[in-house]
Order: sequence, then structure tokens, then C-alpha cells
Amino acid sequence: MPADPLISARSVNKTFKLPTERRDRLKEHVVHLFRPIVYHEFEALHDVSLSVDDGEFFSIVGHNGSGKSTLLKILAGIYRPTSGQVEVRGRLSPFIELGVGFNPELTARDNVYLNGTILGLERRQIAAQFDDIIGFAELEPFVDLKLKNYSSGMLVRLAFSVAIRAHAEILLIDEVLAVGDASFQLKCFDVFRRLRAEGKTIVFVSHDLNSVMEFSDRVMVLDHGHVVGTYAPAAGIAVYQQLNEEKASRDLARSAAASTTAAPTAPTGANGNEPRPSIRTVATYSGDGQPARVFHRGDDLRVVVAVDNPHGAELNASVGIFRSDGLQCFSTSTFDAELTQRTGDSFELTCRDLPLQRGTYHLLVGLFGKTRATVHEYQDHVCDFQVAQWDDYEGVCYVHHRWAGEQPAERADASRDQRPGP
Amino acid sequence: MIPRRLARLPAALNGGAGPAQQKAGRSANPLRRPAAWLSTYGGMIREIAFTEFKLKYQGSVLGYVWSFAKPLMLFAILYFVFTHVFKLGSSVPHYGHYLLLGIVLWTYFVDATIVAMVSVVERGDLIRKVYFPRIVIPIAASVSSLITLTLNLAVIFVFIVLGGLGFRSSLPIFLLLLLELFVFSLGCSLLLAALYVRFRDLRHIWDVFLQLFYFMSPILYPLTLLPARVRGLLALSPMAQIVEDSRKILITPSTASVTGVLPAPLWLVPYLLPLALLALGYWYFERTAAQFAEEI
Repeated sequence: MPADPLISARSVNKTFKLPTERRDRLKEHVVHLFRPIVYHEFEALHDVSLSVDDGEFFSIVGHNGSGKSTLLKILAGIYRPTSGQVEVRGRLSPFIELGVGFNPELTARDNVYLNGTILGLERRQIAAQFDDIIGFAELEPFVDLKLKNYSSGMLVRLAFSVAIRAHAEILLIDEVLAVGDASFQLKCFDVFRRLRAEGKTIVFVSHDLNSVMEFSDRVMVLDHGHVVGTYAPAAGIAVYQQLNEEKASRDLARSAAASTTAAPTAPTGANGNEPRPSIRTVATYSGDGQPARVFHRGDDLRVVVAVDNPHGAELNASVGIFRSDGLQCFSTSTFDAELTQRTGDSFELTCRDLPLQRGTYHLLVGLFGKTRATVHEYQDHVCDFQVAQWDDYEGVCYVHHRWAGEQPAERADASRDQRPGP
Repeated sequence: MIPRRLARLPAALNGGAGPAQQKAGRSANPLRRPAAWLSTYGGMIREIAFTEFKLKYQGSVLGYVWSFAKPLMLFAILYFVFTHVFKLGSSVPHYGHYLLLGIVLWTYFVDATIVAMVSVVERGDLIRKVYFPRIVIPIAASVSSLITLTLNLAVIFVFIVLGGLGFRSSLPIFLLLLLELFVFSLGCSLLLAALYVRFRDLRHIWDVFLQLFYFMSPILYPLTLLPARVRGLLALSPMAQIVEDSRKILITPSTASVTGVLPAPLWLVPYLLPLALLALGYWYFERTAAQFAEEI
């Protein structure tokens, strides 16, 4: 790991002052000279720290209004933080959104030059790459057409094609893949792979969890301007999805005076002195209680999560099963279950008749307080285990099925029958 | 908690990538490393300036011809009014040349300041989404008007040749006067552009002010035509000095310059005022620029 991160932000806060009245006329300023403007303060980012290493693909996810774009703009220098420090080493590509500065009254040719200059390219650099830019965007026949006659897909292709030429070590990318057809998206993915291979550092903000999953080295989850945590991709996405579910249920329960909606706290690295509940161990067992790492489809899988719970607090746990490529196969939590007691020091989960197909899997285990908003800890990539199968069915999971005319009795137990002895 | 004072240092003033951008050959401060700054952002200024010039006449049948035609038509009207109706011009030798030169220089000042004033707000999308030194935008607006000025000056030179006036060896000084005009209008532009972000009334106020300033400047008349007391007051304006000095160099050497109208230390005022305005404009613009993205 390099000594210094390329991007580091420490305790960044950003508060927007939203005036409750708008005064952009001189008269209003004169008339209300002695009455100060009343501001409503909106805290867009609260104590956000992050560091991105050289060559890293760093994604930021969060629901709308969680502060993702504000954070990106602060990193880019467009907004100045209310407090905190931002340090960027290396040349930053200044684009946040695609096609900025495009003028609909100009032709594609003129716009490429204009946009390219805004991205910090010199005229002759653009001239040298002009054919590549137009070629990549597949817009050769339309070079001299005014942009106002372009479709939105064409615009995005052109914009993306220019943007990737920026000579920068660090790229900040916000919501690129929202538009564009499937084949162009594939091209974008190729470019991302190439940029990664070239060792570019990328900070990526997107709602497209698939691309986040595929490219990221780390994922930071933001919620209402607070950092929930920074995780491996699968874990980050799981946390984000859980937040989404929680948000949906909270919206419903808001009227029910659930005043315990404290902001989620960082799972690790928090310097609170209070000993707080944490995950001690996670282990997998076979149906008969033996520690196991290899299972067969149809087996029972038992997961035991041992926790340290110094104060006997009310706890909840979640267990997610992920395939090695990050596919979330199944997740469950004690929020969905009616447990008799939640204050103990272990949680035990039994998965009956495991329907998973051949492959390597791992668990994502989360520990929460009374509500999902209180995240005590997440542990990702715990308890790798293998699933084997005796037949050649393909896919994610085994689906109980029957072909018409098939002998039902034989088929139902097919996989068990072929097993070489119990 | 990191104190506010610290927070400003890296991120705000240098635009988020302070030491980094310097390292990569980018200088965020045009005063500290003007050459590096210009080599980085000069291309952007040129590109935006030419785009604006191009867009200005787009869609019109005559296109660029309008950039000549407009001041010429204005000239034709004023020339007719002031030589045939008011008989003012007939007492001034080469009144036509006087008038045309005045109109062209004045048109530049009006164009540059109005376009630059609204430029920051109109480029709001750029400012909200891309980081670059904000000052690039009003500079580009001024440069874009400079293109029109150059075309118009070419017309004037043609008229000078046609009028048999010829060129004198002092011609290069005229370039210095153009530079002074550029500095003067840029100083106003920076101030106006930054203020306009907060006070949208400025557009109307500036319109009225320009009207007043127009009649207070020796565009329609030579300075010497005014009563002595008023003359001294109006000669303090850089516009008066620039127009009169230009006439002196290009048309008739006998034109009264401000040095002849004002007493010794006072005639420095119109020469120094553009620099002072530029300094003030730059200072105020840079002071408010970091907030533009949030205020527009």
C-alpha cells in the first residue's frame, strides 16, 4: 500500500445555508437592511473522512440526498467545505457530470473542442484524438450536426467519449451510466476496466449497483450526510440495500413516534470509549452440529454468531450468503424473526435444505442494536464455505421441478439417490 | 474538530486540489505564476471567447457582417443627426472619423461589460459542475468582445486610408491605449460579474449608468467643445482619455489630450483609474468566487 493516499478528506462538514426568503434584488436588500436574512441550515455532510489510494476504484453509494454529489463536488473543489480538510495529490479530472458546457447551438465538432478544453485538454491534443472521440461515440455521420438535434443517448455517448480523454490521474464520475443503450454501456465498462488497468484512481458515484459491484475496490455508504462505513463491494451494497429497506420501513413507522431513529454509527474505527456489542466469532456447522466448511446442496447449514454483549443490550443480527463473485444469494435478519430474547451472547441460524448450487460462498454478518439504524458491526467475507452437488444442474439455486411425463418418485430424490452413501 | 481557518487553506482558495494542481503544472493563482496559469487556462479562455463570438451572430443571415454593420449604421444615423440637424460636427475637422472611432471604442466597452456581467450567471451549469478558476469566464467574455473590436478597427483603418489621413509613427501607442481600454473594461466586468451573482438588478442599473456615461464621454463631441469647468471634470474619466488620445494618434494630432485639459498631477487619474479598477475587481471577484457554485 502506498504511503500516502491520493485523496484524503478529514472531518469534512458541509452546511448549506438556505435562506427562508430570497433576496437577490437590490431593493430587497435596501428595504430589509436592518433585518438579517433568516437562514435555514441544512447539514449535507457531517464529519466525513475518507482516503482513496493510488489506483483504487472507490465507489460512493447512498440514497438520494445522502450527500454523495456534495462530497464529490467538495473533492473537485467546486464547493468549499464548511470545515474539515481535503487534500488531493495528482491531477484531477474536473468533470462531475457528462456533457457539461455542451452548447445545443453548436455542432458536435465545436462542442468536442469546447468540452475538451473545459476538461483541461489542449486544442492540438483534441485535434489529434478527434477521430477517435467521434468514432468511439459512433457519431461519424453527425459530426457537423448541431447538438440540439441529437438524442439524449447520442449526447451521452459524445460526452463520455470526450470525458475519458482527460489527462488526469484521478477521475470523479457521477451518474454516468444512467443513459445509453446496453451496447454502449458495455463499452463504458470496457473503458472502466482499461482505466483501472492503467492505474487511474476513480471515485465513482452511482445508483447502478451492478457496476459498483463489478468495478469497486471499496464502497463507502453514505446516509443523510453521515458515513455508515467503508466496505468491500458486496458488503457495502448489502449495507446500502439494508439501509434502503430500513428507510422504507421507517417512513411507514415515522408516525408511530419511533424516536429512536438515531443516525447510524460507524461500525468500526469509532473512538467511543464505551465497550459496545461486537461480533466475536462466526462459525458454520453441518446439520448434525459438526463444524463444517463443505456442504452439499440439500444439506442443512447452521450459522452461529457469537457476540460480546457487555451490557446485555437488545441486539439483532443479520446473515447474508454471497457467492464468491459477490452475488447476494440470500439475506435474513432477526428483525424479520420473532425471537423470544435478543439480549444473549449468540445468534444461531439454521438454513434447511440448502438450495445453493456448486460454488464458493461466504457470509456477511451484521450486528445491530434495537433498530437497523444502530449498526454495531459488519463482518464481510467470514466463513468461506463450499457447496458441492452431484448432478449437473446449472444456475444460482436448485429449483424443485418436474417435467411432464417424468416419473415423479424417482426425480424428487434424484440428487440424494446418487449420493454415495450417507 | 478542525478549525475553519485551516479548512479554507487547501480546498477553497486553490480550488480543491491546491498543491496537487501546482505539481501538475496547474496554477490556480494567475498573479503568482502568470505564465503557467495562462498556458493552462489560456486555451479555455480562447475557446469560450470564440464560441461566444460565434454564437452571437448564429442564425442571422448576415452573420459576422453584423459586427461591422451595427456600429456603422449607428454611425450613419449619428453622423446625419450631428452634421445636418445640429450642425455640431461641421465645426470639427474630420468629424466623421472622430465619431466613428468614438462609437467603436464605446461599443466595445458596452459590449464587454454587459456580456461579462451576466457571463458568470449564464454559465451557471459549468460553475456548478466543473472546477476551474471562475475568473476565466469574465475574461473570456472580454476577449470575445475584443474580436469584434478588432474587426471594427479594421474598418476604421480603411476609412482613415480613404480619408487620406495616413498613419503616423506614434501608431504603436494606440495598442497601449487598446490595452488600457481592455484593462478598464475588465476591471468593471469583474466587479459587475461578481456583484451580479447577488444583485440581479445590476443589469438595469448598469444600463442607465451606461446611458449617462455615454453622454459624459466625448463620443459625439470632442472634449474641447465643452465649457472649461465641465471639461476638466469629464476628463477624469478613463473613457474620455482613451477616446481623445486615440483620436490624437489616429486622426488629428491637434486633439486635446487630458494632459492638456487637467493640471499636472490630476491628469494621471484617468491613466491610473483602470489599473485601480482592475485591482479592485480582481480582489472582489476572487473573494466571492468560491461561493458562486452555491449562490447561482
